[in-house]
Amino acid sequence: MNFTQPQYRSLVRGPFGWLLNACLVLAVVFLLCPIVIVTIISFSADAYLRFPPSGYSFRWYENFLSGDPSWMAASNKSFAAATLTAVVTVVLAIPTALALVRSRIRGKGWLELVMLAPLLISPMISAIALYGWIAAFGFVGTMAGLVAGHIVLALPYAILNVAISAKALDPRLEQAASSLGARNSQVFRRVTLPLLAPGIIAAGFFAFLTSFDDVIVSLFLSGREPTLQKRMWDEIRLEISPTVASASTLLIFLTIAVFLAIALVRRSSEKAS
Amino acid sequence: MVRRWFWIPGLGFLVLFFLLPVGAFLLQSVLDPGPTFMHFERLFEGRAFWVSLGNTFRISITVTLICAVIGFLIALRIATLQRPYANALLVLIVMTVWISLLVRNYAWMVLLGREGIISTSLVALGIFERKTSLLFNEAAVVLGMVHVLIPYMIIPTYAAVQAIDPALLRACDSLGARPAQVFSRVLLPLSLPGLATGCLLVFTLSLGFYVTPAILGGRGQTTLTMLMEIEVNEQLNWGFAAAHAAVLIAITAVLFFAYRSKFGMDRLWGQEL
Repeated sequence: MNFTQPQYRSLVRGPFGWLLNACLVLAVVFLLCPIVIVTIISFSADAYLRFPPSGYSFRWYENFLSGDPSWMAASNKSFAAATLTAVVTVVLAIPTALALVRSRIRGKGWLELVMLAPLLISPMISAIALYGWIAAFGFVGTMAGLVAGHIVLALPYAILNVAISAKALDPRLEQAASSLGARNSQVFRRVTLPLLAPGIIAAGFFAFLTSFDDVIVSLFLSGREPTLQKRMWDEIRLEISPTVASASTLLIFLTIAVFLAIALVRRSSEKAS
Repeated sequence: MVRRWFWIPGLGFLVLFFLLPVGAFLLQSVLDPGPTFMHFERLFEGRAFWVSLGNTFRISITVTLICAVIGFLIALRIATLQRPYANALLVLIVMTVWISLLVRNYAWMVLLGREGIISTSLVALGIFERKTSLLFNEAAVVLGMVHVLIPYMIIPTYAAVQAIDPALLRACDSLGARPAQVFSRVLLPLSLPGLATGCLLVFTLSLGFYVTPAILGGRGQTTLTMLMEIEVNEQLNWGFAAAHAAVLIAITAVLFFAYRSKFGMDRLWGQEL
């Protein structure tokens, strides 16, 4: 079996090829190893972090799910914030992505700049700035403030995702619908939106994960009831009980599930087109 | 179908919850309590600022160099694989990006801790006399950050290598170039724009990192973002925190505009919008 494309085969023969192969194998191990270790240790029976564990049990999952109610409260808050973030982000992203891809207005470069800035500027700065801004309007500790912070982080990437779908959309399909007598709202609902669906779904899922995994904004804006990441952060900074490992394992598998869902949506839409 | 107002929701949101808050926050560095340069004077005269600026740069440069060398070799190997294998690996790598940063850093706490697998096996091998924590030092921070940031190097460099015309490699082959020559005269020069994109992303993201240096680092790894957090949460000195933020944003902006004037924006998005 040959894994390499024909034109590169002579390149990866010999010592240079060995170096490349070693890098690749090490990278995969390096990227996956911590995830595997966290999963194993979450089933530990020990009272403190020890690897390998001396025995296995579900005690830390029990502690997460029912032992200490603050964990489930934090998870519920994170779920609510992430769902809200996903919905609002998608609604904002659709028109923006269409404008970005289709119009030839001079402001395009500026929009790209404004979209890129939240990705390049430290989230610590955005979070502190938004904290001060929201405090000035009396919204600190509210769900709205927290979600606003998460949308800022999620929106640029969501716009990008929808824009990729919008670029692939053939405008003649919409023109055909109009010329056959569909009203603008009908064209949008029955032609444009369904064709953008893969990008929209991906954008929604990624926005959900962005919110769910955020630590920094939650540090300032989650108020008295922490989000799950804030709760984990507090735990890690004080003492590290393996409950964090069980929470982490659940998070890892949630992420993998979401990611596979996105991959499936993309694949089925590629097949359809 | 694009209406003029399509710009407004997304752009408006970012203006209202990102640009204006960040602008207002930065203004505090010269307007808190009245028009003043005292915060900047204090910043540039204090030792803590220069030390943490040095820490931030040293850590970011180390992380970027390691990511550039290893990330490029990984990307090169992936780009030479047959498509299905390459795609599977890329999905795996991108997926790790979406696993919570806190979870991935926590995994290193488990691995490098006093009871972690590395410490215990070094004792078993007789290299260490006692179980020792390998946490709270610069190596741990760099390791944790490379783990989080290396995908940002792999993806753009992969795109660059993958876009190289296969005919060039066949020409190298038929003219008898050795692998080292193919690498240094063809692959590396043609991948430089992708490497530049990766370096910009990794370096600017490193400058703004907070979570990793805070939980894996010790006193010698205090970064600018950590000082900012302390000024806001403990000292309640917003003007002084804003002066830190202004320096960080200025550095990021210089790097970004230098990059953009040379390479444009398309590579940052992964495509032309």
